[in-house]
Amino acid sequence: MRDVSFTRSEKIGNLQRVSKTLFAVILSVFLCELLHARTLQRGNGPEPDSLDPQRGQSLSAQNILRDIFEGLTREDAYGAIIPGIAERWESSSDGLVWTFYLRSSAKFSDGASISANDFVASFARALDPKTAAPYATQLLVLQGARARLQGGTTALGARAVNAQVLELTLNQITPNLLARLSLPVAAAVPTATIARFGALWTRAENIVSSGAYSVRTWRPLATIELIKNPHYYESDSVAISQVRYHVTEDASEEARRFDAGELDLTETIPPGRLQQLRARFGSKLRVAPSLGSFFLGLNLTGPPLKDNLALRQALSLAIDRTRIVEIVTGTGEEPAYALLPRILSGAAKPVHTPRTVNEARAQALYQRAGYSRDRPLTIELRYNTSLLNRRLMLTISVMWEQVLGVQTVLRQEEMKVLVQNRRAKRITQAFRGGWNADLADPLDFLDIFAPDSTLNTTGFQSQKYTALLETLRRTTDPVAAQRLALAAEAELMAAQPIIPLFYYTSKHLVSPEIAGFVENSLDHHPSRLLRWTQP
Amino acid sequence: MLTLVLKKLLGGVFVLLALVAICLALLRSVPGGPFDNERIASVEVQAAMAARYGTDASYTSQLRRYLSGMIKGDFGPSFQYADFNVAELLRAALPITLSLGALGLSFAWLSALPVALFAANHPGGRADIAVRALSTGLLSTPKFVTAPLLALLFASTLHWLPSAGLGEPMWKYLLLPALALALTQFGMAVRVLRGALLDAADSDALKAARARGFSAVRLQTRHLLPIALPTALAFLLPSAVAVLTGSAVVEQVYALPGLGRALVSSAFNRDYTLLLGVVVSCGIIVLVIGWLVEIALLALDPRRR
Repeated sequence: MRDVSFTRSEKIGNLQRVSKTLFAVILSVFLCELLHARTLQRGNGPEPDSLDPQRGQSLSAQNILRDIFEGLTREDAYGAIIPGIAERWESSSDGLVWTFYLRSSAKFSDGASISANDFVASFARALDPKTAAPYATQLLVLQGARARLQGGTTALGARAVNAQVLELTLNQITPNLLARLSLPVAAAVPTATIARFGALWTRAENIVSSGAYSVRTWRPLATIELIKNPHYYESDSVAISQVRYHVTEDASEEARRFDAGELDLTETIPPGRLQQLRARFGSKLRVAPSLGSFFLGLNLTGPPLKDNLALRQALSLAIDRTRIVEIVTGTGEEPAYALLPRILSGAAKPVHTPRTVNEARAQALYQRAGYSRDRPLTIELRYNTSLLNRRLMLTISVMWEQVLGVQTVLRQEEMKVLVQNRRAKRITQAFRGGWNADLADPLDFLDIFAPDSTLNTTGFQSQKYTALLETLRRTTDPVAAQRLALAAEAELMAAQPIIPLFYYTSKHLVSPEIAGFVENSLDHHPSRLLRWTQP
Repeated sequence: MLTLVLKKLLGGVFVLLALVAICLALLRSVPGGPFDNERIASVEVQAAMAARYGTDASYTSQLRRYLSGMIKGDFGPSFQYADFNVAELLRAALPITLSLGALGLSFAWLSALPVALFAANHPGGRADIAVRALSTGLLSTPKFVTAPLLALLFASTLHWLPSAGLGEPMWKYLLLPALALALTQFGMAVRVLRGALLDAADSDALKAARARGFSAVRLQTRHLLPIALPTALAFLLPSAVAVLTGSAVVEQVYALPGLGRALVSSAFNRDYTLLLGVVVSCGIIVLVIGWLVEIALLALDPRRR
């Protein structure tokens, strides 16, 4: 009979073989799992202008930058500011010196630790005129920042106390500092990598990121694929391991791809009435109020609107906002009678005035302004080319015609041309305006009308308004800040440099397989907060 | 022969230079600059942008700088897509547009040939009338109508092909756009080929061949086609140009990152360098196709030599 018992060395050999096979099986299962890990497919609008967090400006760039870079602070699913790379912070009693304590576990995607010096270097780069960072203005609250941006070498109010402690010195009290620091422009960038690769540093093969994801591939004008950053301090809680952002320039094309199952989350929705869209998409359609304000701007520096408040008020009163949001926009927008979205200002809902009353007041003001049906006003209304804008402006011109007898000349322009004309204030009369906030702060809107702002395309100037803004900038008490913001807004609206029409809504199609998508006022949805409903 | 080639090359270079000079002048004269952006809030940032990209320079110095870069194959940085230079964007976009164009042209002309042969063999018959009606219908349907309809049918309804974008394997994503491009060209190709075949059928050469009693197959393949093809081939250049311009529409509808899409986005964004790069690339493509068609005509038609 053959002896089938194993010697000790044979047993060990067998064990090794078994464990090797097991390991190989587990590894291949793991690899298969990894290869087949489901990728989140996101529609993202136009091609991002840059993946350099200090140079990216478009909304599409900001969406991706929030995934791959992180600053001292970040946002939670509701848009509230929470600790980011800094785990905690404190400020001096005068509010001018802030000390941030960085997480010891914070690392770049290449495994190198993120230190306070990295932030000092990052801020210095953002404020270097050679970087030409579009959002550099958000960092002008740092001491010496403006001089730096103008090419000076003044010491910057950012200092590394040690590797883990960063001290920021401000020009003035800045209540929204923590929100500013959550913007991509304030993120930690890998200055060593930037120095090594120069302009090529954002390429997929070179880029080193500081956020929850890193870039795997970038196919210009097509897709950007992200993969979970294993060195992210909270990588365990990041549920989706791969994300692919698709360039989707046309809303109808994007919806078609969503319908075909090629996209899990869209950037916007195709045009149409809310009811029809609800019937088509059901609960996949997610619409929520957002921090955006659509208004007509009025040029106060030239005829016919200069020095004619009654005329500006008449034009505003003649527009029926309720009809506009019901008939023209139709996707849940709220009629606007002031600049600040109510979800931001906390203002009470405006008292409803019957149309007949408003129209009678508009006609009286029109008369007082020196016009009548026999001697009507002819006004130019400029807007940038889009189907929605055309319908909106046509509706407004009809309302002005019916209520007042105003003759409107509609001028359709390309976006860049409109921007240039608005800024020059030479040929504009009434024009399409609007603002989407970067920060959930009334100042983000009110600052547009500051006298030194290049965004102030109306020529509005008021000492009282400027003074109110100055006080508001230094006010840390939220109740007092709200009161001041409303007072500044009232001062603005009293001069009527704008005719607010409605507040924007955020609109997305979300696959039922995605959980963790929370509507928030800034419409930010970082991929790290999303997960699959069925793992 | 050598002087002819040199003449063609010099002519081509002149055309390209003129194209760049005119294009840059047009771009500068259009209102709205590359950095007229709604959101740039500070004067310092705007000045830094203009300095970085040299848009504050005069026309002649911009043109000089652009041309000297172009000779070295450097088309400068893209104004809109800050992380790329134009040469890289073109390298990424060219293969897509070229594959799309080649596929579209092949679909159109290869499928048009048998149809045209069939129609030409039964001139005035029902089939001929049907073919002519179909080709006129296809020729007069714009691509922005056919392209979404094809996507609706084959992608959204039947789920056979992806509806837009670009992924792996690439041919899957190019099939529908190429078909959309091909449909209009098919209409044109059928008409051109049918006309050329009918003319060829009336020619003395064919009559002579027929008199010699060749079989129908031999008559068509060895005698009819060689006479008809050079006439049809002369239409390949306008057809290729139509495909190139048509791909701008199709690439938009199918979200394909080709030259057409780059052209549209660079025009809206006032991305001078990218737009010039696309124009130069399209110019080179048209010139090269023109040369190839001429060479092919010389080879096929001894009368031209």
